[in-house]
Amino acid sequence: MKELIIGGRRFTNRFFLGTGKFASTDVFRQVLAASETQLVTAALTRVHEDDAEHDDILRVIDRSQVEIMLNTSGARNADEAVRIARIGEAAGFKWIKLEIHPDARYLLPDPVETLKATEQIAKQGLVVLPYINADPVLARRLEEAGAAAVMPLGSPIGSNKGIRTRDMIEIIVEQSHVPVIVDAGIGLPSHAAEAIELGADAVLVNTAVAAAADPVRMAEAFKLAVRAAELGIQADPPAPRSTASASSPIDLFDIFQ
Amino acid sequence: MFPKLKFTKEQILAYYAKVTPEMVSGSLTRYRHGFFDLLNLLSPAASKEEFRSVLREASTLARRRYYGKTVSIFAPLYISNTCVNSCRYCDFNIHHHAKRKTLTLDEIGLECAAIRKHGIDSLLIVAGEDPKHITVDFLCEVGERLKEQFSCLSLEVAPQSEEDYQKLFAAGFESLICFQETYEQDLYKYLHPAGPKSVYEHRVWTQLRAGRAGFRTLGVAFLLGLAPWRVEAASLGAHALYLMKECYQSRVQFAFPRITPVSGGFIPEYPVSESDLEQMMLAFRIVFPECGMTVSTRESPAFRDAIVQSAADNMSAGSRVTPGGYAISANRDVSQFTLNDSRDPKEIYQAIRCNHQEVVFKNWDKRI
Repeated sequence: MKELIIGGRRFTNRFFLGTGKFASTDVFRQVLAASETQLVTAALTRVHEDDAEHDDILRVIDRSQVEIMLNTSGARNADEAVRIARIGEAAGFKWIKLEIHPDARYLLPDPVETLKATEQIAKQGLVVLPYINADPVLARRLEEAGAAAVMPLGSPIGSNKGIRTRDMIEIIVEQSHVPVIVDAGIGLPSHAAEAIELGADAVLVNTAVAAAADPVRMAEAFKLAVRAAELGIQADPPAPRSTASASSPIDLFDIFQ
Repeated sequence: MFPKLKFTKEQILAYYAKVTPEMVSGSLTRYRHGFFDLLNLLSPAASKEEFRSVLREASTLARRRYYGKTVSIFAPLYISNTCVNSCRYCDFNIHHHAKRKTLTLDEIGLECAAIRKHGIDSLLIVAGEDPKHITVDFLCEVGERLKEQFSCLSLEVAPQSEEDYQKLFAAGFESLICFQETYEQDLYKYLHPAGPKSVYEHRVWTQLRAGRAGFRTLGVAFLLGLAPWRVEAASLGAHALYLMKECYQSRVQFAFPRITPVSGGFIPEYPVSESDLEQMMLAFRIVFPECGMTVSTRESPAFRDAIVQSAADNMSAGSRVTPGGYAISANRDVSQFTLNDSRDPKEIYQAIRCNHQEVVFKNWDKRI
């Protein structure tokens, strides 16, 4: 597999971690150690930069070992996201995970606003990694706009449904000149391995670890799964595997007059 | 019933009566839920003892998947208890002779300082309906002053026009809650005989107007005890689904306020038991996993501590429901209702942490 370099920084571990939803900073500290991750993402909306009273998850991170990318979650349009990036930059954060989801139910990313914001944030000289639907054309446009990597979703955030956008991710991997990080929807270590086997450069996981009954063990499981998939690719498997997936019907009645 | 819902109260009741244990099980295992799943889980069939632990388990999982092991904390700030309405169940009622108070901006500042001391960063501004004193301009002034101090400002005041909601949003308010009290139109008219609140239609579209004006969170609720809760809950679910369709950029939030004793002596005709309340909160969490859910200070510490693990994602801490109650001490003034959880914020944070959950104060940044 190709060496993973994003924003000039080399990563030997392809498992990245989100910092939300953990029960305590202490649990997060242990998860961080078990994951051996080199990149985490945290929401500006959760950073207490001027307040020592709060139990700040970012305080346990050794920034010489682990890069922090600030995410723009909560932003509903490009303007809000760009403002978050500026506030983050002023607080010393150079890496921005751009997520703009106006849709409060599925938290699906807005491609138009994401493209606008990527252009502006990249121009400021920040390392910007946009979270997108698995849209190959959009991924190309973002690359042209200066994205340091693209982060297509496997399925909606927090859904734990795994890689439902398989075919599109394959196309993005095929076409992309920047690293592809599968973000969102990864619920099991096997899903993470599947993403790497599809050719993704890395995965980002949060809910599946944070909401597990034993987050520390789950972090280790993901680390091992990602590493196993990477080794498997390096070992050059004899044939590609195939999986089938079934989708369940949705019954929403029209209940309104 | 919620006006857009195409079913009558009789049809909803007939549906509830026909729900079988198999239908309840079916709704529990579905991945995405619709209106009829909500009815199945609210039904008498689902209230059987054998379902309670299964409901709790499904709800806990849904809660954990969307909110992780976190509990958001806010505090209500009553800025006024003057009111021109005559709601039969409320002690702010115009006919209820008690000392009334509207805080000045400086007094609000004192109250906020007392609230901030506990680390609380989300504030709910509450006031009675009083067009003379609680004007949109006054509320905007309050917002402008407080948005520097709190990362989230919510409103629980009289319904406003869409234009006024735009002003309030610009002034720093981003979240709103408005209890419909009852979705039954005849009962609504009986309970609110006079004052601006007597207009059902104006109240029921409050969230829609706020959503169109940009509000990020739209709170919906009915007052538990005024009418049969299963019928009201069906309307509440329909209201939420309607808002999710019409205001897709906003998040719907539920509250389940039970009527507690008031000094006016109102006796609820259809009291809701703690077990009914739990069933309702579990059912809504399963069907609406992504929506917010608040547990009221009207409930006991034990109930609150349990339900923030299985269903609710946010709660208030150290609430005072009298204007001036945090710092100015106005014990003789009228409060809106009786609290059952009188713990101070530290005790509540401690209880949350004992249950292996994180206390979240901040979910937004005021500079954005």
